[in-house]
Amino acid sequence: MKKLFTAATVVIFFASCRVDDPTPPIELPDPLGDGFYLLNEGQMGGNNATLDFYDYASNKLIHNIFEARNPMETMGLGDTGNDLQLHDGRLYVVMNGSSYLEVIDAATALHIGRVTIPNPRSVAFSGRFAYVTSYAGATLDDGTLGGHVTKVDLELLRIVDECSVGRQPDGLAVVGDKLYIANSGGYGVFESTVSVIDLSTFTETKRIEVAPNLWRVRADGKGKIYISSRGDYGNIPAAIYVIDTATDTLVTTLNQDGQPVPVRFLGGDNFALLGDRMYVVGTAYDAEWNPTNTYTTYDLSTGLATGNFITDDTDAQIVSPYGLATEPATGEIFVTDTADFLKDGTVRCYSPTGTLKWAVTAGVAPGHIAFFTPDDAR
Amino acid sequence: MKKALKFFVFAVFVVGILTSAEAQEVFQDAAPETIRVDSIVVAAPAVREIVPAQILADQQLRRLETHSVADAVRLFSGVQIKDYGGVGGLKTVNVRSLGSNHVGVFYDGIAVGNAQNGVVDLGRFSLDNVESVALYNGQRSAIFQSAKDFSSAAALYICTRRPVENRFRARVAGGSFDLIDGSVLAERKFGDKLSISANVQVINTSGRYKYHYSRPGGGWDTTAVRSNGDVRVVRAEAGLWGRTWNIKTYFYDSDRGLPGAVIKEDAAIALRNNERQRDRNFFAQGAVGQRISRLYSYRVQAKYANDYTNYVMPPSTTLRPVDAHYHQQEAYVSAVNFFAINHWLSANLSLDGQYNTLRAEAGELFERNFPHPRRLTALGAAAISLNLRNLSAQTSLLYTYAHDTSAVDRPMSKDRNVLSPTVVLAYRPTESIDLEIRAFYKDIFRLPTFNDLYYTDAANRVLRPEYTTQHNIGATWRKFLPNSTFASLEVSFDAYYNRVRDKIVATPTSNQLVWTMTNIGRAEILGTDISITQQLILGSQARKTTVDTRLSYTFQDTSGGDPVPYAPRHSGSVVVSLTWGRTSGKAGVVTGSNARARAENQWSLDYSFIYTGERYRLGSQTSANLLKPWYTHDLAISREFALRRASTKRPVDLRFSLEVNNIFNQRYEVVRWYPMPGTNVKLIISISL
Repeated sequence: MKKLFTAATVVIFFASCRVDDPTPPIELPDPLGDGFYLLNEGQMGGNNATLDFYDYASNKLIHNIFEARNPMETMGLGDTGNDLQLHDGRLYVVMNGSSYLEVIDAATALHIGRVTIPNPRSVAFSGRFAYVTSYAGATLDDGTLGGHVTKVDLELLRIVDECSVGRQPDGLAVVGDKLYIANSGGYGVFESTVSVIDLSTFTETKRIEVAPNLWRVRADGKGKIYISSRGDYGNIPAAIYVIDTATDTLVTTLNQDGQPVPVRFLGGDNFALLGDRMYVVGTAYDAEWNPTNTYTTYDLSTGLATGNFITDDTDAQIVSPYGLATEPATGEIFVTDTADFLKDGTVRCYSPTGTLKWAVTAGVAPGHIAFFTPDDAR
Repeated sequence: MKKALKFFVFAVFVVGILTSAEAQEVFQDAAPETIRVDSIVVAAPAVREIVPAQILADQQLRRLETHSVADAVRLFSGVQIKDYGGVGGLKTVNVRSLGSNHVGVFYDGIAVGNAQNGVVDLGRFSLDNVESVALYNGQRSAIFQSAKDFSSAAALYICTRRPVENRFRARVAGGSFDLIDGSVLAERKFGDKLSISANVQVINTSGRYKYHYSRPGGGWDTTAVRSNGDVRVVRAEAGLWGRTWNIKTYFYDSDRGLPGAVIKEDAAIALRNNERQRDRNFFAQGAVGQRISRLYSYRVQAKYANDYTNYVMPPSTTLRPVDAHYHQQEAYVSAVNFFAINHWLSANLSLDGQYNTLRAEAGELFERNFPHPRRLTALGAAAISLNLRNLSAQTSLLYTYAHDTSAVDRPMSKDRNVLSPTVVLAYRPTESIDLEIRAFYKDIFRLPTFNDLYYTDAANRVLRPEYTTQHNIGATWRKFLPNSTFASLEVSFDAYYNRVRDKIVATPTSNQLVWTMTNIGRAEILGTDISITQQLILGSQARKTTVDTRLSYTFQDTSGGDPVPYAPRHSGSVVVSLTWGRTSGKAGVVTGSNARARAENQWSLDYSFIYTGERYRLGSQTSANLLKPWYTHDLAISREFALRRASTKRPVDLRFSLEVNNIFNQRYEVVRWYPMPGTNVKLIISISL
């Protein structure tokens, strides 16, 4: 019986160890000042996508601002964020794993609403509508899963239309009344086309043959769009292609001495535009999968690589360059490092001349940045 | 490799010196009775295991007979079970944080393999027909064993019942999660020459249970039901024993839902929780052995295994549709040669050969790159054992050769040649007290699995094996007083320092869906295991109460290397078993469940407490990834009635048990976002004649 007593004592001791400590309160500037939102994608199935805010006034990264501002939102943002965009005073987060589009008031980081979209990937806007690519289209005749673009009315927060495109559509961009969609075929049967959708009728009007496994799309505001292809992981390397939207034809490939820079794109926002320059991050592997990271600047007037945009050798501190963003006002370049996709990553700020200004620890797989100024508020 | 060879030569030399110096007498085995942990049929020369194992048998195992082997292993010290919740979830064992790939699982003495991913799902093995479960750190130190027995960093031996008399048992259990579990066991003995046994078990459960999550410190709060956790299992086994041989066949067929991690999602669209898995495992194995002379004994073992897995992600999930079929085959032979040179020196030479194949059908993209690998493994082990009055020493050297080929002529990983040494020492300072001090050093590795090397287009064929080095020092003190209240007490303590180098770690390449394996990891584990077992006997011989207590505690510090996810600093368990009532037959310590409990009209009460302290999930060691300790209290009460059939006068045992698991309805998870069930009950009725 003494043993039982001892056991009981042990039990009580252990029972007393379990205390739920409350999350420490975060000091938030309210309303938010100049800065940027950072989406940490989280681990797939880890339910740990988070939204941070970098406050320029205090030079501090406020971790997990969405969770702190919206404690009643079950499980925070949820699982696997894939895109982050600011539009008309609102912040839109595409939650791939949890399958919805989160709508947030950009000035306060308060939850406004959500739209359920299965397997969503990226978002673009035109007026009061958002367009979201989704891997979850109808099953095609050959048994593969088709993709589509969902049209969302942002006032009603309701899906109003859908348009079938290629398999596993990823990035997209609006130019005038046309929507350009990068079809990836990332589930196995690679696609190599960009779908063009006429926004007035919301129908696919053309497919432009580009390269296999297309990824991100960015418009330069001057009639050109830039598309990254992740290649077929075999003979066809990753590269960035240029389409002229006036003619909807492929015009060129960004290159170095006539060849694409040999990289793999890890994902994330792997390139960003700034004036007539483009910055691209990538990772090349040798036969033993030892990585070499690249940080390439392209001159868009010639389409040629002009060098490394990090000039102070601090690139050695980066494990896996993932997301990239440029601040048009200051010319600063932001690079996110996802490390091993499991540990907390970092976000790093580089000056226009390529020297490190600061680096700060973020969440898991930081990948997407949206700049904010109070003028953007509704 | 050269270093390993030098080390071995040195070890042999040391053993030689010690031999000539010490008194040449074997010391007596002090344990009252040894529990069988192997299927060994050979009347082998008694080569003592010089380092004791953690063993569960008898009452404590019988209490768990409707559970899986994983539930028994949870009670050992130094062990973490990775449990994804529910009846159908994968359950793997990690010993001393070396990684579950480093634990060898032996079923009736022969290794259970999985060349595809190297991990054996312990949920597949039921305790229904199991007599003992034993865990060895390093290796089992009985040198009369196959080369495979020397080849893992820790070894779990599951030993099934061997008939001792004619017997028939039927059992049915039902309870929470719409569980129905039925089994029959028939055993027949034909004199001393032959015995047979057959066992069939069917399990069906919906796997549904409520779970609850809330925001720490207030805020959101949600309760939901775990779905797609249904499991259907059919398991059938048959065994045949002769005087010098045995044959065993095993069949397992299951169909289950994979409930997946709980994530934020809209109830309107089913996402991750529609995955299904079908498994069909078959193996047949046999062993034959004999003591040819005083000097020489042998044992030959062989096995054939055929495993099939079908993993399905239906297109309706809106995620990547998958319908993958994996077919694995394994052929294994082993020859063990044992030489009892004299009464204090023995040697063993064993040679094993193994051939594994994996064929996969998983869609066009997968098959374009998949080499359909085949692996030939040859293992040779040489071991010397020395047993003196106060000192026992064993040293072994294992040689491993592996050669991979492709069924479709793809480039494969190059051949492997590795030497792995082990030294085990046990010292008994005095005859007057039963105290044994032990130490071992073991250097072993695991080969990269087929998945590590050849999975899809980011395959890394130049992976090196993952090496572990273990240093252990420990002591056990025992006291047996068969006729007193304090019938027995055993205290065991071990301190260890483990290193894992070239640890195979998954890193993403082109995107989050395509990962490759690299040798970038490194782990260092400093730990202690403490276990105390005690038996108290109260009351008179005719009407007594027995109290068995087992306490185990593990401390681990993994801060020296890369973070080891889910490795708690503190963990432990307490098991208390009470039996009371009128008894007859054998008194005192009853060991070996073959010594069928002769208790009549007896009650028993079993309580177990399992504690796992704070630990970090996969990722950075930050407060966001820190998981709270969890602990559960399980209680089982059973009543046994010994009846007698009027016609034949043969005994009929009837047994009723009621289990209440997680009695305080603790909300916990072993793996983040895989909630475990709250309070659940099970009623078991068993009849044996």
